[in-house]
Amino acid sequence: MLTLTAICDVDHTIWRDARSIITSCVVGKWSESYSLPGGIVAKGRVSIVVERCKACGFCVEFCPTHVLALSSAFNSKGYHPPHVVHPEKCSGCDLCGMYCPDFAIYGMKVPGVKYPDEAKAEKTAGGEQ
Amino acid sequence: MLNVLQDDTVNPVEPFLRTDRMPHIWCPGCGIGTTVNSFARALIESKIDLQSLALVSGIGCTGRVAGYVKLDSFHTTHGRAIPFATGLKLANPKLNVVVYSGDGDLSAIGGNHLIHAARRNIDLKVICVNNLIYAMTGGQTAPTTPGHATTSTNPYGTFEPAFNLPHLVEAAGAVYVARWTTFHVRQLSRSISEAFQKKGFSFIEVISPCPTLYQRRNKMGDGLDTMKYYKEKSKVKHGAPTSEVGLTLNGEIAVGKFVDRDRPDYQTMMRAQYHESLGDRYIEEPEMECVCG
Amino acid sequence: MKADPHGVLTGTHFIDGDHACCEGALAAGARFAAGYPITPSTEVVERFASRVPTVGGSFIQMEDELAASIALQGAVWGGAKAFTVTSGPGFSLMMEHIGYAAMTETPCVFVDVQRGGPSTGLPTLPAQADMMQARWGSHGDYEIIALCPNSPQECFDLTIKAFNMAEEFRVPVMFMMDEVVGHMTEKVVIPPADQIEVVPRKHTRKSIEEYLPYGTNGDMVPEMAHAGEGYKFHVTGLTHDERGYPNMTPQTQDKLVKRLQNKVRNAADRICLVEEDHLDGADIVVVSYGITSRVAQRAIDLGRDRGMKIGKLRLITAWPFPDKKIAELASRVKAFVVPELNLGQMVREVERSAAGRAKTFAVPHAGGGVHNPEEILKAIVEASRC
Repeated sequence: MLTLTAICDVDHTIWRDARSIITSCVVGKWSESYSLPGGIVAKGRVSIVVERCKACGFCVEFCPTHVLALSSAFNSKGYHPPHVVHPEKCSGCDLCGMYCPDFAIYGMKVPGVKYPDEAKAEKTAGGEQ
Repeated sequence: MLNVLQDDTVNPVEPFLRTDRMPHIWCPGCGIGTTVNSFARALIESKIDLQSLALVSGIGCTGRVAGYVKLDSFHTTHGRAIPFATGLKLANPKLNVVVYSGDGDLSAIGGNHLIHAARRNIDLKVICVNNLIYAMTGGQTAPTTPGHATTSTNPYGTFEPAFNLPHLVEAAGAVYVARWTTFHVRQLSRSISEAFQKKGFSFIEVISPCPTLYQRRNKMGDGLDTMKYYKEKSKVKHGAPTSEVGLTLNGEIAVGKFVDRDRPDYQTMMRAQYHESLGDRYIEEPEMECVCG
Repeated sequence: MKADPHGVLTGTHFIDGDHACCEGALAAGARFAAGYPITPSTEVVERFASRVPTVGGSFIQMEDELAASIALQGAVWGGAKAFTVTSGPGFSLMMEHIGYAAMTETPCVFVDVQRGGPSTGLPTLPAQADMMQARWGSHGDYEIIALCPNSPQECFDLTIKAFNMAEEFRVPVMFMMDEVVGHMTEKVVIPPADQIEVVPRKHTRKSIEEYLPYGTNGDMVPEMAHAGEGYKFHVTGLTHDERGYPNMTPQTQDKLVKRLQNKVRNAADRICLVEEDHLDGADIVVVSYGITSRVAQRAIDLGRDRGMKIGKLRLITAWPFPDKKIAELASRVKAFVVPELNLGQMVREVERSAAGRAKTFAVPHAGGGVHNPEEILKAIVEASRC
């Protein structure tokens, strides 16, 4: 597993290395899941099949929380696939997946994730269960 | 930290795709793939038995959908998806038959079949992806191309009135008529699910970008610009009179469910008539052991 | 397998060719027809419309022949044996879908009750001028089988054969009747169902994972599946590979189109049915088909009465053309005489196959009636003088 050191404004070299790892995967996709400060995991995460993307921009535009941006990397057809720039904002709504005409991206909810304030709120709401 | 993982989760649309044929041929920014997402989610929502589902398409960019979905799928001749689907449905009434084709295929060369199937109320779900042009062949005028658009066969601008497809199929007898755009992914999915619950001729028009031809020739930007135009200029008008939902160049797009009525479908009427005339002599179920032995 | 008794109207009937054709289809197991009215063929589907609800199947009158010719193919993929009937103008409209049936290997039968043409022509009068069209009418390279009955009895018997050949080779079969054979009323004997041989659909027994819609095991005819059985197969009119997926390369085209051709041509000996009589020692051979063969028989008899050595070759199968038979005869007879209700169509095939080793004399007729036996006799006499 290659760990990259930056999320955006990424150096081409690093992305090229990432791409070579990606294209050696079975479907050529990469999954982005984020550990955020405080050990919190984002509510949702996004999975991108890099080789299918044609950089139409629908996912970037219609993500309700602006999680994505087109990267400066290239897939083998020369398109810039999207990447996650605001992972903490991903709710896993999968609108990106519904819009993508190339079946190149989808979002999913990470099971059982709650932010600390939500977890607190639930505790105080009391034992209804 | 950005992690690159091996991922074994699956896009919800993936089981419905012939993944060995990806990536598909549709252009960047084309909306056809987006409609397939809505279709796949409608199938999941409606819990349709995929084995009983058959998809028939004609020729054109949208016609290629048949080749990319992992269902019993038939890529037929130009304009004739609907009669093929009619024969398929009559021979095996247990099938759920979807016709997935484009505006030129369904309303020009296939126009006659469109109106007759609607008249007869054949139990078909027709998804008409309307990109207002003949895309596959290079951008010629379609019966749905709005006036004053530039196409390759109207290089000085179109001047013919365009079809108002919801109005046409309602007049012909369709029981479910809706229009959405590729921006309305969830609503489209819901309409498709509703159509699956209906018996009779359902027609769902989806306005879609053709960035390579229609949008480019008319200087309307790319697929994303068009999606933004749909977002801005669409107006949901459920139940609107279909005579008022015609499209114009860059004008308002009326979307919504326009018609949802009940009428007995072709097979119901056929069986009723035969029962009445023939009584016990009528054999309702087509008996097929004579075919395979 | 044996015919399904539900569809077999066993007994001795006095019916015309159109009606007999319908009975033949039902006996063969046809349970779907889509049609469009056109004289002189309409009676076939009219009878089917009245018979099939009590047999178990459906008939739909479509809005045009374009719709009829593809609706029947949808029904085939839905699991039925299906056919349509038409005449000249409708036959022309059906050409694209005949090509589609050939390309997708959809077994089905197209009945053409030929009438005077071209265009609207003579709706109620006979001709045999669609023979070349039956073979070449659609675009591209493909093979079909064409059968020509010459009596109502043959309209029954050969329709069953047409369906059988369609299933065996997965081709569209052209059933080339003519207005006289269609509208003449004669005795038609329909045997009991267990005496009628019917070819079942070549349905695959492979599992869903193994099945290839257009894969063949050397016999060149792929196994079929129907919609709704879980095979999730794809059928397209585009040039395709064994998975049925479009694959538009010269290599795939070559492989596919040659197989479509060879699966019929390689079996030509089995498919080419002829009726022959007095071929040994003949000087002249009269080659004819359909109603003309019955008029020709009279001419042949008159000629034989005069002492001439005349052989008869009646084409029951017009396509693939029995060229080997003609070539073999050409080496030992003086001439062929080919009367047809057209201005020269199958005669070209005779001439081609004879390759100059025997002379070929056409006896054309523009259509609208049948030959006078004397016209054919005159040609026979002229041929014998060469």
